[in-house]
Amino acid sequence: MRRDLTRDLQALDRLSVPDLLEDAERRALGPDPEHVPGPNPSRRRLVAASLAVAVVGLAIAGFVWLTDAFRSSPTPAEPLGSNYVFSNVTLEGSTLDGEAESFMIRFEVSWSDETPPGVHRCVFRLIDEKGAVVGVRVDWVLWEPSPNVAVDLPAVGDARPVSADARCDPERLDTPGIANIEESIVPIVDEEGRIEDFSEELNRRIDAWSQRFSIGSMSQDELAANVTALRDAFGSVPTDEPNADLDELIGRISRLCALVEPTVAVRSC
Amino acid sequence: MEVTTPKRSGTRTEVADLYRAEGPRIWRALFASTRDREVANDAVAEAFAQCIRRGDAVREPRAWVWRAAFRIAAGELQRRGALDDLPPDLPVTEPEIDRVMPALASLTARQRTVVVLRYYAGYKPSEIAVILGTSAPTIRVHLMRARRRLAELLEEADET
Repeated sequence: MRRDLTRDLQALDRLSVPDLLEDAERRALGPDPEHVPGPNPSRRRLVAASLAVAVVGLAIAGFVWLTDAFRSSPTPAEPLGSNYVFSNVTLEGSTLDGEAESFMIRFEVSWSDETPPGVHRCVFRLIDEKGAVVGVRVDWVLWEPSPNVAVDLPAVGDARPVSADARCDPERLDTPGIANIEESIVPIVDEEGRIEDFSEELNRRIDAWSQRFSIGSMSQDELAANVTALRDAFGSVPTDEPNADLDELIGRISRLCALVEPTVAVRSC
Repeated sequence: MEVTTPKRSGTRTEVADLYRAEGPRIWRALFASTRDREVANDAVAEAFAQCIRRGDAVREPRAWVWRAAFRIAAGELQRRGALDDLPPDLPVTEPEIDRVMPALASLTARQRTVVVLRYYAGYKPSEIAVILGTSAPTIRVHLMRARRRLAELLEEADET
């Protein structure tokens, strides 16, 4: 029986919480200290004063190192080392409303040969009109082939990036093999059309539910997904999105996994 | 997930309503994720302060404050260089919380954050990806591992 973690974590509601609204309003009345989110002003000043020299030095050294490391690459859109391919890389402005320092890199992901890349450490960079790196984000990623992927990151100071790129380390960090990603929260539509949250009680009424994406051991065109879908008494197919129909669900999973023929079983509950 | 907040933050009164609706949940989620009251206090207050300052420029205030608060907290923890270095002072509260918090503390920082956002805050993996600025598949991997580990830890806690 799957454990109901939602119920377990409801215990957090018993934590007493300080009233921070007055603090927020007081801060809002003061001058906007900086756009980049940070700690309270006094601590921010202290931290800034004590770390300014070191941060500036490290930042310059880091950007010089990164710029040098990537400058040697002949094709900026190609991955460095891994077989991930990032194409149609574009850059958008603020992703956090009103916060112009945050930028969104959008790109398409695929891979260049028959081997799914798996988990890699990747570096995403913002570049200004002079070619300087003005923002870096490092993340550990597991991409699926997808036409729409986005990563956001802040730029340094008032820098205005005009382009972006993404590269991944060659080292694969996961163990190749089948990885099952299960979606376990399954709302069901009740008689009045309301969405009923997944629960232990509901779990007992359902023999089996799984929406599994098997990845990691097959080639890009042969990725397979076994989909077991439930159709409730009213013909609705429960997913984590209300009112999704089975065709739409299969289509979405098919697009995700580049399926040719999904295996689908429809059951009643 | 239930959405009850206005689309635009508009007046300070609306932000105050938003705080009453979401502030405590954001604080608890942050505290469960960081286990640091100072970081949670600061991140929540600063997120709502910035929301007030920006006024109508914030199109989706509810999503905005969640995202801003987690960004602020992550920034602070990164500045401290102690993302996985948890403060030792667990709150002395009720047995149920004392059961959940140590279990959460056994997860990695990223696992702790995604599991709290998923099972406490009720966000979908795709929404968590937006809050944390990463991809939904990455979130699903963290979530899968966190779910498995947390369930094991809570089962163990139940038995003792």
